[in-house]
Amino acid sequence: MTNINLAERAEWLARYALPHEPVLRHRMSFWRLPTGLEIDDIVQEIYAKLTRIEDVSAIQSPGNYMLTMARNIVLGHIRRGEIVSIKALEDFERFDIADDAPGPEQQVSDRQQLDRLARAVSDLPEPSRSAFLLRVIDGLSHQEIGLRLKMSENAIQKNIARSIKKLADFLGRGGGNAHRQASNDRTSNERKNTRGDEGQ
Amino acid sequence: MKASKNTADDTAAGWVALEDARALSRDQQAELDRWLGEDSRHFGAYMRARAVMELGQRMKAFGTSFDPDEYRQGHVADQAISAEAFEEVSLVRGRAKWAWAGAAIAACLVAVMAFSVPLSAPGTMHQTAVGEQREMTLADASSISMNTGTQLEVAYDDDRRFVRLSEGEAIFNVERDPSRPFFVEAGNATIRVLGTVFSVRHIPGQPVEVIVHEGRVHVEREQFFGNIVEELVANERAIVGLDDAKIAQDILPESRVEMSAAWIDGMIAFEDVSLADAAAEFARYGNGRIRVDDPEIARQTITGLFDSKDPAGFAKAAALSLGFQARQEGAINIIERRTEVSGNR
Repeated sequence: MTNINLAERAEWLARYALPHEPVLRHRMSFWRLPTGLEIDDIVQEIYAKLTRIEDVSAIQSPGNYMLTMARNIVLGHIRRGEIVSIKALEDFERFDIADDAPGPEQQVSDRQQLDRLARAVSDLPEPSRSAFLLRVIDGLSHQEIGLRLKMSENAIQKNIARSIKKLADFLGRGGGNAHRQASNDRTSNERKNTRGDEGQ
Repeated sequence: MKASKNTADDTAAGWVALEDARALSRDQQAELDRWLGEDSRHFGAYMRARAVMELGQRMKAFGTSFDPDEYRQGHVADQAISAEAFEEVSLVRGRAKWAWAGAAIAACLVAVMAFSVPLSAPGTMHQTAVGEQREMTLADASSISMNTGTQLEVAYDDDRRFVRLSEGEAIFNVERDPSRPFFVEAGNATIRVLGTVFSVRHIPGQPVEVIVHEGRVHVEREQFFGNIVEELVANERAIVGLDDAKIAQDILPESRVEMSAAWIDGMIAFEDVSLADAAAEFARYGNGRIRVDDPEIARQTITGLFDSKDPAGFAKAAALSLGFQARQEGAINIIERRTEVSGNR
């Protein structure tokens, strides 16, 4: 993977892989996965593989491509198992993925994705939400955000990390309603107060 | 998905946040490399976290006044109005297909009384050249900010104030005067206000777009049988179609309203606008052209805030984010497929 620019690839993944993750996870939730292999493991392996591919521009429908990868990862895992069970392999192919024929690619428009993102960000708990917004919209450094929110630089970094994790959960898992409701209860005037007094 | 089992996503988020804070020290880099090399799942989790951070940068498109609480509420309101109608309009900018398809656009018909006022006496002409922007103050202290390539005519008399926007885009900041309503005529639409701030965009061949920033505005569409009039309040937008006998309306989050006025600061805001439309928008400002020959590339969409004086920068950014390349030929910026071919898949 010498020629791969990780920043560019992250951008590609954001655009082409992330939007397909919820559907992929949903499909996999119907599979009987071999013990020791979780959906999160498969998703991570897919991202690793998608990064190692030298030229991703040839991937016409990333959603279907990711589904095929998922299948191969599971089959590979079963084959490498301590006791290679032919039955397990057959069962998986016959029952679990038989109905999972690649379908027409689900299209996620740019606008939809932006809207999903904005909802996910809006649903972040405080102070993570303020920290994240000050970082990506206002472009402040962690130190500047710390001064603004009266927190240490280290705490800001932790809150950014928390934001990334939560956004990944929300976007990768399709942003369920439970998530929304849970955060609706939270008071979230913190950011308003810190950003609002700049005067608009 | 037992979190206790697979903690790579948490660890990865921590690393990406650390990288976001500052350049890693040599020791930290070594530690990260070691962790990434340990398990391909670690590497995958790390790239996934980076992708999320990368995506997060797109929040910039909403501008600094983005209010998450308002967005959450606005999102609910949007759905209530009409999800389909919302989809059809490529927001802020763009020549969408104006197929309203009977969508449930809550049209509040306030009056079926014509208020179109024909311009009797010739008024004063004002215009901006391509790339020029100007703000002017009128006799009653109302002001008009004119965007690039805009032409308008102002005629005031004792009982009305009248502006004809024959082409272009302008923001009107109207001083309140109930005795003299303020009218803007743009194509087949007439806008009537008493005192408020609103913008009108009238590009030949496109529907007239009215966005209310403050106060209350009446928009009327000319028709053979009884003109229709709609009332708009702040953050509402009306689109007066060319052929459609309707005035389509929707509510925009405040941040989008602000974004629509980005040109005041020399910026262009795009949200999910095709490269073809983006190129047409840049062309309005002069400063070199953007050319997209491949129709498939021209259909790709872009979101973001761009410097209207820098089409080359836009071409570069768009090409990079969409996986194409930008090439400059004199004043023309071409977005095309990458020429170097590598790998086989």
